[in-house]
Amino acid sequence: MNSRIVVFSCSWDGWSCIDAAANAGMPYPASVTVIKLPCLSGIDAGLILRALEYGADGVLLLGCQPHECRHGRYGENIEVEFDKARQLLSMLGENSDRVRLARLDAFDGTGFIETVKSFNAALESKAKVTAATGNKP
Amino acid sequence: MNMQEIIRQTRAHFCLDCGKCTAVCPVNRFDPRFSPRLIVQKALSNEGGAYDDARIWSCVGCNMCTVRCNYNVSYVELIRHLRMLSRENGTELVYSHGGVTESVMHMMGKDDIKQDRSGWLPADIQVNGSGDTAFFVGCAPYFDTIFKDLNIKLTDGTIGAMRLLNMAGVPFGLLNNERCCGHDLLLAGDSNGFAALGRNNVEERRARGIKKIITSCPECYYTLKEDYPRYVDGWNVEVIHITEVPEIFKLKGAAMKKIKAAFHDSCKLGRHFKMYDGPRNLLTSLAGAELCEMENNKENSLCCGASPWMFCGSVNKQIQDERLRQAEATGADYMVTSCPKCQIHLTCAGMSGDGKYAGIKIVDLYHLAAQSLAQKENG
Repeated sequence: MNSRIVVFSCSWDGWSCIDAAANAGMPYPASVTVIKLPCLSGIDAGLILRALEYGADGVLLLGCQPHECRHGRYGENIEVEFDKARQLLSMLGENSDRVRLARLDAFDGTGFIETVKSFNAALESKAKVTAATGNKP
Repeated sequence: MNMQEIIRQTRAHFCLDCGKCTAVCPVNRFDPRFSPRLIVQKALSNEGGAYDDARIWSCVGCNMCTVRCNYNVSYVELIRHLRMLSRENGTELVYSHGGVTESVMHMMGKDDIKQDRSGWLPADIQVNGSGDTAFFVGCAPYFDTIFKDLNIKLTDGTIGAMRLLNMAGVPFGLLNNERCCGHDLLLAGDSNGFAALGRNNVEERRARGIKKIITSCPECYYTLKEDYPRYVDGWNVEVIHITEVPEIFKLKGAAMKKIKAAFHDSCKLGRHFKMYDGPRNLLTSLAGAELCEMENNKENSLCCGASPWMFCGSVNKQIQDERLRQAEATGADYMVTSCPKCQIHLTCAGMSGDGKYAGIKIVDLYHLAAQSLAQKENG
Protein backbone atom coordinates (compact mmCIF):
# COMPACT_ATOMS: atom_id res chain seq x y z
CA MET A 1 0.00 0.00 0.00
CA ASN A 2 1.56 3.26 -1.11
CA SER A 3 1.37 6.43 0.93
CA ARG A 4 -0.66 9.36 -0.35
CA ILE A 5 1.87 12.04 -1.17
CA VAL A 6 1.10 15.55 -2.33
CA VAL A 7 3.95 17.20 -4.23
CA PHE A 8 3.97 21.00 -4.40
CA SER A 9 6.28 21.65 -7.31
CA CYS A 10 7.56 24.91 -8.75
CA SER A 11 6.85 25.33 -12.45
CA TRP A 12 10.56 25.58 -13.40
CA ASP A 13 13.25 23.12 -12.32
CA GLY A 14 10.97 21.12 -10.03
CA TRP A 15 8.43 20.59 -12.80
CA SER A 16 11.16 19.86 -15.34
CA CYS A 17 12.31 16.90 -13.18
CA ILE A 18 8.80 15.42 -13.13
CA ASP A 19 8.53 16.03 -16.87
CA ALA A 20 11.89 14.35 -17.50
CA ALA A 21 10.84 11.34 -15.44
CA ALA A 22 7.60 11.06 -17.40
CA ASN A 23 9.35 11.41 -20.77
CA ALA A 24 11.88 8.74 -19.83
CA GLY A 25 9.03 6.42 -18.86
CA MET A 26 10.23 6.10 -15.25
CA PRO A 27 7.33 4.97 -13.04
CA TYR A 28 6.42 6.38 -9.62
CA PRO A 29 3.54 5.41 -7.29
CA ALA A 30 0.09 6.38 -8.51
CA SER A 31 -0.71 7.70 -5.03
CA VAL A 32 1.51 10.73 -5.73
CA THR A 33 -0.44 13.89 -6.64
CA VAL A 34 1.47 16.80 -8.12
CA ILE A 35 0.29 20.38 -7.68
CA LYS A 36 2.14 22.91 -9.80
CA LEU A 37 2.87 26.35 -8.34
CA PRO A 38 4.42 29.22 -10.32
CA CYS A 39 7.20 29.40 -7.72
CA LEU A 40 7.69 27.37 -4.58
CA SER A 41 8.16 30.64 -2.67
CA GLY A 42 4.39 30.89 -2.77
CA ILE A 43 4.12 27.96 -0.38
CA ASP A 44 2.67 28.50 3.04
CA ALA A 45 2.65 26.39 6.20
CA GLY A 46 -1.14 26.61 5.97
CA LEU A 47 -1.17 24.98 2.54
CA ILE A 48 1.08 22.16 3.74
CA LEU A 49 -1.03 21.50 6.82
CA ARG A 50 -4.22 21.71 4.79
CA ALA A 51 -3.01 18.88 2.55
CA LEU A 52 -2.26 16.76 5.63
CA GLU A 53 -5.55 17.72 7.27
CA TYR A 54 -7.42 16.57 4.15
CA GLY A 55 -5.81 13.15 4.33
CA ALA A 56 -2.38 13.23 2.68
CA ASP A 57 0.22 11.07 4.43
CA GLY A 58 3.10 13.24 3.33
CA VAL A 59 3.84 16.54 1.58
CA LEU A 60 6.88 16.95 -0.65
CA LEU A 61 8.04 20.45 -1.58
CA LEU A 62 9.93 20.32 -4.85
CA GLY A 63 11.82 23.38 -6.01
CA CYS A 64 14.86 24.77 -7.80
CA GLN A 65 18.28 25.08 -6.23
CA PRO A 66 18.33 28.36 -4.25
CA HIS A 67 20.51 30.24 -6.77
CA GLU A 68 18.46 29.01 -9.74
CA CYS A 69 15.13 30.65 -8.81
CA ARG A 70 13.70 32.34 -11.95
CA HIS A 71 11.77 34.77 -9.77
CA GLY A 72 14.84 35.96 -7.88
CA ARG A 73 13.32 34.90 -4.56
CA TYR A 74 16.19 32.62 -3.52
CA GLY A 75 13.68 30.63 -1.55
CA GLU A 76 14.25 31.91 2.00
CA ASN A 77 10.50 31.89 2.41
CA ILE A 78 10.38 28.19 1.53
CA GLU A 79 12.70 27.26 4.39
CA VAL A 80 10.75 29.47 6.81
CA GLU A 81 7.39 27.95 5.93
CA PHE A 82 8.85 24.44 5.81
CA ASP A 83 10.27 24.86 9.33
CA LYS A 84 7.00 26.32 10.57
CA ALA A 85 5.02 23.37 9.23
CA ARG A 86 7.42 20.89 10.82
CA GLN A 87 7.35 22.66 14.18
CA LEU A 88 3.57 22.85 14.18
CA LEU A 89 3.34 19.15 13.35
CA SER A 90 5.62 18.15 16.20
CA MET A 91 3.66 20.36 18.61
CA LEU A 92 0.50 18.61 17.44
CA GLY A 93 2.16 15.31 18.28
CA GLU A 94 2.42 14.30 14.64
CA ASN A 95 5.49 13.03 12.81
CA SER A 96 7.26 16.12 11.49
CA ASP A 97 8.98 14.04 8.77
CA ARG A 98 5.66 13.96 6.97
CA VAL A 99 6.89 17.13 5.26
CA ARG A 100 9.98 16.98 3.13
CA LEU A 101 11.84 19.58 1.06
CA ALA A 102 13.80 18.64 -2.06
CA ARG A 103 15.75 21.01 -4.27
CA LEU A 104 16.80 19.42 -7.56
CA ASP A 105 18.74 20.47 -10.63
CA ALA A 106 16.78 20.94 -13.84
CA PHE A 107 15.68 17.81 -15.74
CA ASP A 108 16.82 15.46 -12.96
CA GLY A 109 14.17 12.82 -13.57
CA THR A 110 16.06 10.13 -11.69
CA GLY A 111 16.48 12.46 -8.71
CA PHE A 112 12.72 13.03 -8.57
CA ILE A 113 11.94 9.31 -8.73
CA GLU A 114 14.48 8.55 -6.01
CA THR A 115 13.16 11.35 -3.78
CA VAL A 116 9.57 10.20 -4.14
CA LYS A 117 10.41 6.53 -3.59
CA SER A 118 12.55 7.13 -0.51
CA PHE A 119 9.87 9.44 0.93
CA ASN A 120 7.23 6.81 0.25
CA ALA A 121 9.36 4.13 1.91
CA ALA A 122 9.96 6.32 4.98
CA LEU A 123 6.25 7.08 5.34
CA GLU A 124 5.32 3.42 4.91
CA SER A 125 7.77 2.19 7.52
CA LYS A 126 6.37 4.77 9.98
CA ALA A 127 2.85 3.60 9.12
CA LYS A 128 3.88 -0.01 9.87
CA VAL A 129 5.23 1.03 13.28
CA THR A 130 1.95 2.82 13.99
CA ALA A 131 -0.10 -0.21 12.92
CA ALA A 132 1.99 -2.60 15.02
CA THR A 133 2.16 -0.56 18.23
CA GLY A 134 -1.03 1.46 18.01
CA ASN A 135 1.06 4.52 18.84
CA LYS A 136 1.96 7.31 16.52
CA PRO A 137 5.67 7.46 15.86
CA MET B 1 -31.06 26.29 13.35
CA ASN B 2 -33.49 27.96 10.96
CA MET B 3 -33.87 31.68 10.32
CA GLN B 4 -36.93 32.04 12.60
CA GLU B 5 -35.08 30.61 15.58
CA ILE B 6 -31.97 32.66 14.88
CA ILE B 7 -34.04 35.85 14.81
CA ARG B 8 -35.77 34.96 18.07
CA GLN B 9 -32.61 33.93 19.85
CA THR B 10 -30.62 36.99 18.82
CA ARG B 11 -33.55 39.38 19.48
CA ALA B 12 -33.20 40.65 15.92
CA HIS B 13 -36.99 41.15 15.69
CA PHE B 14 -36.64 44.01 18.19
CA CYS B 15 -34.59 46.01 15.67
CA LEU B 16 -36.04 49.51 15.28
CA ASP B 17 -34.00 50.32 12.20
CA CYS B 18 -32.45 53.27 14.02
CA GLY B 19 -28.98 52.68 12.57
CA LYS B 20 -26.95 53.36 15.72
CA CYS B 21 -25.17 50.06 15.11
CA THR B 22 -23.98 51.18 11.71
CA ALA B 23 -23.01 54.61 13.02
CA VAL B 24 -20.57 53.15 15.55
CA CYS B 25 -19.35 50.18 13.49
CA PRO B 26 -15.58 50.41 12.91
CA VAL B 27 -15.84 48.42 9.68
CA ASN B 28 -18.52 50.74 8.32
CA ARG B 29 -16.24 53.69 8.99
CA PHE B 30 -13.81 52.47 6.35
CA ASP B 31 -16.14 50.42 4.17
CA PRO B 32 -19.57 52.07 3.88
CA ARG B 33 -20.92 49.06 2.01
CA PHE B 34 -20.91 47.09 5.25
CA SER B 35 -23.86 47.96 7.45
CA PRO B 36 -25.03 45.97 10.48
CA ARG B 37 -28.46 47.54 10.18
CA LEU B 38 -28.92 46.40 6.59
CA ILE B 39 -27.84 42.87 7.46
CA VAL B 40 -30.39 42.69 10.29
CA GLN B 41 -32.99 44.11 7.93
CA LYS B 42 -32.15 41.51 5.30
CA ALA B 43 -32.32 38.73 7.88
CA LEU B 44 -35.80 39.92 8.88
CA SER B 45 -37.14 40.33 5.35
CA ASN B 46 -39.32 37.64 3.87
CA GLU B 47 -36.92 37.10 1.01
CA GLY B 48 -34.66 35.38 3.52
CA GLY B 49 -31.08 34.45 2.82
CA ALA B 50 -29.03 37.14 4.53
CA TYR B 51 -26.46 34.39 4.80
CA ASP B 52 -25.50 34.51 1.13
CA ASP B 53 -24.53 38.18 1.47
CA ALA B 54 -20.74 38.31 1.24
CA ARG B 55 -20.72 41.24 3.69
CA ILE B 56 -21.42 39.01 6.69
CA TRP B 57 -17.76 37.97 6.53
CA SER B 58 -16.54 41.55 7.09
CA CYS B 59 -17.81 41.75 10.68
CA VAL B 60 -14.94 41.76 13.20
CA GLY B 61 -17.16 40.75 16.13
CA CYS B 62 -16.22 43.75 18.28
CA ASN B 63 -19.70 44.09 19.83
CA MET B 64 -19.75 47.88 19.45
CA CYS B 65 -23.19 47.64 17.80
CA THR B 66 -24.79 45.58 20.58
CA VAL B 67 -23.48 47.93 23.26
CA ARG B 68 -25.18 50.83 21.48
CA CYS B 69 -28.37 48.97 20.57
CA ASN B 70 -31.40 50.14 22.59
CA TYR B 71 -32.94 46.68 22.35
CA ASN B 72 -29.80 44.67 22.89
CA VAL B 73 -29.92 42.84 19.57
CA SER B 74 -27.13 40.30 19.78
CA TYR B 75 -25.45 41.16 16.54
CA VAL B 76 -22.30 39.04 16.90
CA GLU B 77 -24.50 35.99 17.58
CA LEU B 78 -26.57 36.77 14.52
CA ILE B 79 -23.47 37.01 12.34
CA ARG B 80 -22.18 33.76 13.78
CA HIS B 81 -25.41 31.92 12.94
CA LEU B 82 -25.57 33.46 9.47
CA ARG B 83 -22.01 32.28 8.87
CA MET B 84 -22.97 28.77 9.97
CA LEU B 85 -25.85 28.78 7.49
CA SER B 86 -23.58 30.18 4.81
CA ARG B 87 -21.06 27.39 5.34
CA GLU B 88 -23.79 24.78 5.27
CA ASN B 89 -24.70 26.17 1.87
CA GLY B 90 -21.18 25.67 0.60
CA THR B 91 -19.60 29.14 0.72
CA GLU B 92 -15.90 29.13 -0.17
CA LEU B 93 -13.83 31.19 2.24
CA VAL B 94 -10.60 33.14 2.02
CA TYR B 95 -8.29 32.49 4.95
CA SER B 96 -5.53 34.80 6.10
CA HIS B 97 -2.06 33.40 6.74
CA GLY B 98 -2.70 30.61 4.22
CA GLY B 99 -5.30 29.06 6.51
CA VAL B 100 -2.64 27.77 8.87
CA THR B 101 -4.54 28.69 12.03
CA GLU B 102 -7.67 26.95 10.79
CA SER B 103 -5.75 23.79 9.87
CA VAL B 104 -4.05 23.73 13.27
CA MET B 105 -7.41 24.11 15.01
CA HIS B 106 -8.90 21.29 12.93
CA MET B 107 -5.95 18.99 13.57
CA MET B 108 -6.20 19.76 17.29
CA GLY B 109 -9.80 18.60 17.17
CA LYS B 110 -8.77 15.01 16.41
CA ASP B 111 -9.47 12.68 19.32
CA ASP B 112 -6.24 10.69 19.22
CA ILE B 113 -3.55 13.39 19.17
CA LYS B 114 -0.95 13.68 21.91
CA GLN B 115 0.37 17.22 21.78
CA ASP B 116 3.85 18.21 22.73
CA ARG B 117 2.98 21.76 23.64
CA SER B 118 4.93 22.67 26.75
CA GLY B 119 8.43 23.13 25.32
CA TRP B 120 8.26 26.88 25.98
CA LEU B 121 7.59 26.52 29.71
CA PRO B 122 10.51 27.82 31.82
CA ALA B 123 11.73 25.58 34.65
CA ASP B 124 11.05 28.17 37.37
CA ILE B 125 7.28 28.13 36.89
CA GLN B 126 5.71 26.02 39.63
CA VAL B 127 2.97 23.82 38.24
CA ASN B 128 0.89 21.78 40.64
CA GLY B 129 -0.28 18.66 38.87
CA SER B 130 -2.67 17.33 41.52
CA GLY B 131 -5.07 20.19 42.27
CA ASP B 132 -8.46 20.84 40.73
CA THR B 133 -7.48 24.23 39.30
CA ALA B 134 -5.93 24.52 35.86
CA PHE B 135 -4.42 27.39 33.94
CA PHE B 136 -5.75 27.46 30.40
CA VAL B 137 -2.80 28.45 28.21
CA GLY B 138 -4.57 29.01 24.89
CA CYS B 139 -2.89 28.93 21.51
CA ALA B 140 0.08 31.20 22.35
CA PRO B 141 2.66 28.38 21.85
CA TYR B 142 1.29 27.75 18.35
CA PHE B 143 1.12 31.46 17.58
CA ASP B 144 4.80 31.76 18.49
CA THR B 145 5.63 29.44 15.61
CA ILE B 146 3.05 30.73 13.16
CA PHE B 147 3.91 34.39 13.68
CA LYS B 148 7.62 34.19 14.25
CA ASP B 149 8.19 36.49 11.25
CA LEU B 150 6.56 39.26 13.30
CA ASN B 151 9.28 38.98 15.90
CA ILE B 152 6.90 38.62 18.83
CA LYS B 153 6.81 35.98 21.52
CA LEU B 154 3.28 35.46 22.67
CA THR B 155 4.16 32.91 25.31
CA ASP B 156 5.89 35.77 27.16
CA GLY B 157 2.44 36.98 28.15
CA THR B 158 1.31 33.52 29.25
CA ILE B 159 4.52 32.99 31.22
CA GLY B 160 4.02 36.43 32.81
CA ALA B 161 0.49 35.49 33.87
CA MET B 162 1.73 32.21 35.36
CA ARG B 163 4.53 34.03 37.21
CA LEU B 164 1.99 36.42 38.72
CA LEU B 165 -0.05 33.45 39.95
CA ASN B 166 3.10 31.83 41.34
CA MET B 167 4.11 35.00 43.17
CA ALA B 168 0.62 35.45 44.56
CA GLY B 169 0.69 31.86 45.81
CA VAL B 170 -2.26 30.65 43.73
CA PRO B 171 -1.70 26.98 42.84
CA PHE B 172 -2.60 25.77 39.35
CA GLY B 173 -1.94 22.84 37.05
CA LEU B 174 -1.77 22.60 33.28
CA LEU B 175 -3.77 20.47 30.87
CA ASN B 176 -1.11 18.58 28.95
CA ASN B 177 -3.32 17.93 25.99
CA GLU B 178 -5.32 21.14 26.11
CA ARG B 179 -7.07 21.97 22.84
CA CYS B 180 -7.76 25.39 21.38
CA CYS B 181 -10.94 26.86 22.93
CA GLY B 182 -12.40 27.16 19.42
CA HIS B 183 -13.39 30.83 19.60
CA ASP B 184 -12.34 31.54 16.04
CA LEU B 185 -13.93 28.45 14.56
CA LEU B 186 -17.23 29.35 16.21
CA LEU B 187 -17.04 32.97 15.08
CA ALA B 188 -16.27 31.71 11.59
CA GLY B 189 -19.39 29.55 11.70
CA ASP B 190 -17.54 26.23 11.80
CA SER B 191 -19.78 24.47 14.31
CA ASN B 192 -18.36 20.98 13.65
CA GLY B 193 -14.77 22.07 14.23
CA PHE B 194 -15.81 23.87 17.41
CA ALA B 195 -17.72 20.82 18.69
CA ALA B 196 -14.67 18.58 18.18
CA LEU B 197 -12.45 20.93 20.19
CA GLY B 198 -15.07 21.33 22.91
CA ARG B 199 -15.61 17.58 23.23
CA ASN B 200 -11.88 16.98 23.63
CA ASN B 201 -11.49 19.76 26.20
CA VAL B 202 -14.33 18.24 28.22
CA GLU B 203 -12.57 14.85 28.10
CA GLU B 204 -9.33 16.45 29.22
CA ARG B 205 -11.08 18.22 32.09
CA ARG B 206 -12.82 15.03 33.21
CA ALA B 207 -9.64 12.97 33.08
CA ARG B 208 -7.87 15.46 35.31
CA GLY B 209 -10.82 16.25 37.58
CA ILE B 210 -10.57 19.99 36.93
CA LYS B 211 -13.26 22.12 38.58
CA LYS B 212 -11.85 25.60 38.07
CA ILE B 213 -10.01 27.21 35.17
CA ILE B 214 -7.97 30.40 35.25
CA THR B 215 -7.05 31.99 31.95
CA SER B 216 -5.36 35.16 30.81
CA CYS B 217 -6.58 35.18 27.21
CA PRO B 218 -9.77 37.25 26.81
CA GLU B 219 -11.10 35.11 23.97
CA CYS B 220 -10.50 31.83 25.80
CA TYR B 221 -12.21 33.39 28.81
CA TYR B 222 -15.25 34.40 26.79
CA THR B 223 -15.53 31.08 24.99
CA LEU B 224 -15.01 28.86 28.02
CA LYS B 225 -17.32 30.95 30.20
CA GLU B 226 -20.10 31.90 27.78
CA ASP B 227 -20.05 29.50 24.85
CA TYR B 228 -19.04 26.19 26.41
CA PRO B 229 -21.99 26.03 28.85
CA ARG B 230 -24.32 26.73 25.91
CA TYR B 231 -22.85 24.56 23.18
CA VAL B 232 -20.67 21.88 24.81
CA ASP B 233 -22.09 19.03 26.92
CA GLY B 234 -20.55 18.22 30.27
CA TRP B 235 -18.41 21.33 30.75
CA ASN B 236 -19.40 22.41 34.32
CA VAL B 237 -16.28 24.36 35.16
CA GLU B 238 -15.91 27.61 37.00
CA VAL B 239 -13.96 29.89 34.66
CA ILE B 240 -12.23 32.97 35.99
CA HIS B 241 -10.01 35.55 34.38
CA ILE B 242 -6.65 36.25 35.95
CA THR B 243 -7.71 39.82 36.79
CA GLU B 244 -10.47 38.32 38.92
CA VAL B 245 -7.96 36.59 41.20
CA PRO B 246 -7.84 38.90 44.26
CA GLU B 247 -4.45 37.62 45.49
CA ILE B 248 -2.75 39.13 42.44
CA PHE B 249 -3.60 42.65 43.49
CA LYS B 250 -1.95 42.19 46.88
CA LEU B 251 1.41 42.03 45.11
CA LYS B 252 3.32 45.27 45.06
CA GLY B 253 5.04 46.35 41.89
CA ALA B 254 8.32 48.05 41.28
CA ALA B 255 8.62 51.77 40.71
CA MET B 256 12.04 51.50 39.13
CA LYS B 257 11.54 53.61 36.08
CA LYS B 258 8.16 55.12 35.48
CA ILE B 259 6.90 54.18 32.04
CA LYS B 260 3.95 55.58 30.17
CA ALA B 261 1.57 53.00 28.82
CA ALA B 262 -1.52 53.26 26.63
CA PHE B 263 -3.92 50.44 27.42
CA HIS B 264 -5.74 48.76 24.55
CA ASP B 265 -8.93 47.01 25.70
CA SER B 266 -9.68 43.76 23.99
CA CYS B 267 -13.27 43.55 22.75
CA LYS B 268 -14.05 40.41 24.71
CA LEU B 269 -12.78 41.57 28.10
CA GLY B 270 -13.93 45.13 27.52
CA ARG B 271 -17.27 45.45 25.81
CA HIS B 272 -18.40 41.86 26.35
CA PHE B 273 -17.56 41.57 30.06
CA LYS B 274 -17.17 45.26 31.00
CA MET B 275 -13.89 44.41 32.72
CA TYR B 276 -12.13 47.74 32.26
CA ASP B 277 -10.63 48.39 35.68
CA GLY B 278 -8.97 45.04 36.49
CA PRO B 279 -6.36 45.18 33.73
CA ARG B 280 -5.82 48.90 34.32
CA ASN B 281 -5.19 48.32 38.03
CA LEU B 282 -2.73 45.61 37.14
CA LEU B 283 -0.96 48.02 34.82
CA THR B 284 -0.72 50.90 37.27
CA SER B 285 -0.23 49.09 40.58
CA LEU B 286 1.86 46.11 39.47
CA ALA B 287 3.67 47.26 36.39
CA GLY B 288 4.04 50.71 37.93
CA ALA B 289 3.05 52.42 34.72
CA GLU B 290 1.46 55.78 34.17
CA LEU B 291 -1.77 55.15 32.32
CA CYS B 292 -2.44 57.10 29.13
CA GLU B 293 -5.92 56.72 27.70
CA MET B 294 -6.35 56.66 23.95
CA GLU B 295 -8.98 58.71 22.17
CA ASN B 296 -11.24 55.66 21.99
CA ASN B 297 -11.07 53.79 25.26
CA LYS B 298 -13.05 51.46 27.48
CA GLU B 299 -16.56 51.09 26.03
CA ASN B 300 -15.60 52.99 22.88
CA SER B 301 -12.34 51.16 22.43
CA LEU B 302 -11.43 50.45 18.83
CA CYS B 303 -11.09 46.78 17.84
CA CYS B 304 -7.70 45.44 16.74
CA GLY B 305 -9.50 45.04 13.45
CA ALA B 306 -9.48 41.39 12.53
CA SER B 307 -12.01 38.69 11.88
CA PRO B 308 -11.36 35.09 12.88
CA TRP B 309 -8.28 34.62 10.70
CA MET B 310 -10.12 35.30 7.50
CA PHE B 311 -10.80 38.02 4.94
CA CYS B 312 -8.15 40.34 6.38
CA GLY B 313 -7.93 43.21 3.92
CA SER B 314 -7.50 46.93 3.49
CA VAL B 315 -10.41 47.80 5.77
CA ASN B 316 -8.94 45.78 8.62
CA LYS B 317 -5.58 47.42 8.07
CA GLN B 318 -7.16 50.88 8.17
CA ILE B 319 -8.82 50.11 11.51
CA GLN B 320 -5.50 48.86 12.86
CA ASP B 321 -3.62 51.90 11.53
CA GLU B 322 -6.12 54.18 13.19
CA ARG B 323 -5.64 52.34 16.49
CA LEU B 324 -1.85 52.58 16.25
CA ARG B 325 -2.10 56.30 15.48
CA GLN B 326 -4.29 56.80 18.56
CA ALA B 327 -1.72 55.00 20.69
CA GLU B 328 1.16 57.03 19.31
CA ALA B 329 -0.78 60.26 19.85
CA THR B 330 -0.87 59.64 23.62
CA GLY B 331 2.93 59.92 23.75
CA ALA B 332 3.14 56.62 25.62
CA ASP B 333 6.23 54.39 25.53
CA TYR B 334 4.23 51.22 25.21
CA MET B 335 0.90 50.10 23.91
CA VAL B 336 -0.20 47.46 26.38
CA THR B 337 -2.79 44.80 25.67
CA SER B 338 -4.01 41.73 27.49
CA CYS B 339 -4.96 39.81 24.34
CA PRO B 340 -2.44 37.80 22.27
CA LYS B 341 -4.48 38.26 19.12
CA CYS B 342 -4.59 42.04 19.51
CA GLN B 343 -0.82 41.92 19.87
CA ILE B 344 -0.46 39.91 16.67
CA HIS B 345 -2.81 42.05 14.62
CA LEU B 346 -1.47 45.41 15.74
CA THR B 347 2.16 44.33 15.32
CA CYS B 348 1.35 43.00 11.86
CA ALA B 349 -0.37 46.27 10.91
CA GLY B 350 2.56 48.24 12.27
CA MET B 351 4.99 46.53 9.97
CA SER B 352 2.88 46.10 6.88
CA GLY B 353 2.79 49.72 5.75
CA ASP B 354 6.41 50.18 4.82
CA GLY B 355 7.82 46.95 6.22
CA LYS B 356 8.92 48.70 9.41
CA TYR B 357 7.51 48.25 12.87
CA ALA B 358 5.18 50.76 14.41
CA GLY B 359 6.68 53.67 16.28
CA ILE B 360 5.15 52.42 19.48
CA LYS B 361 6.11 49.09 21.02
CA ILE B 362 3.24 46.70 21.68
CA VAL B 363 3.66 44.56 24.79
CA ASP B 364 1.63 42.12 26.80
CA LEU B 365 0.16 43.30 30.09
CA TYR B 366 1.10 40.23 32.14
CA HIS B 367 4.60 40.13 30.73
CA LEU B 368 5.12 43.76 31.73
CA ALA B 369 3.67 43.25 35.22
CA ALA B 370 5.69 40.09 35.92
CA GLN B 371 8.86 41.73 34.64
CA SER B 372 8.35 44.74 36.86
CA LEU B 373 7.76 42.53 39.93
CA ALA B 374 10.85 40.46 39.16
CA GLN B 375 12.93 43.64 38.92
CA LYS B 376 11.78 44.61 42.38
CA GLU B 377 12.64 41.22 43.83
CA ASN B 378 16.09 41.37 42.32
CA GLY B 379 16.64 44.70 43.96
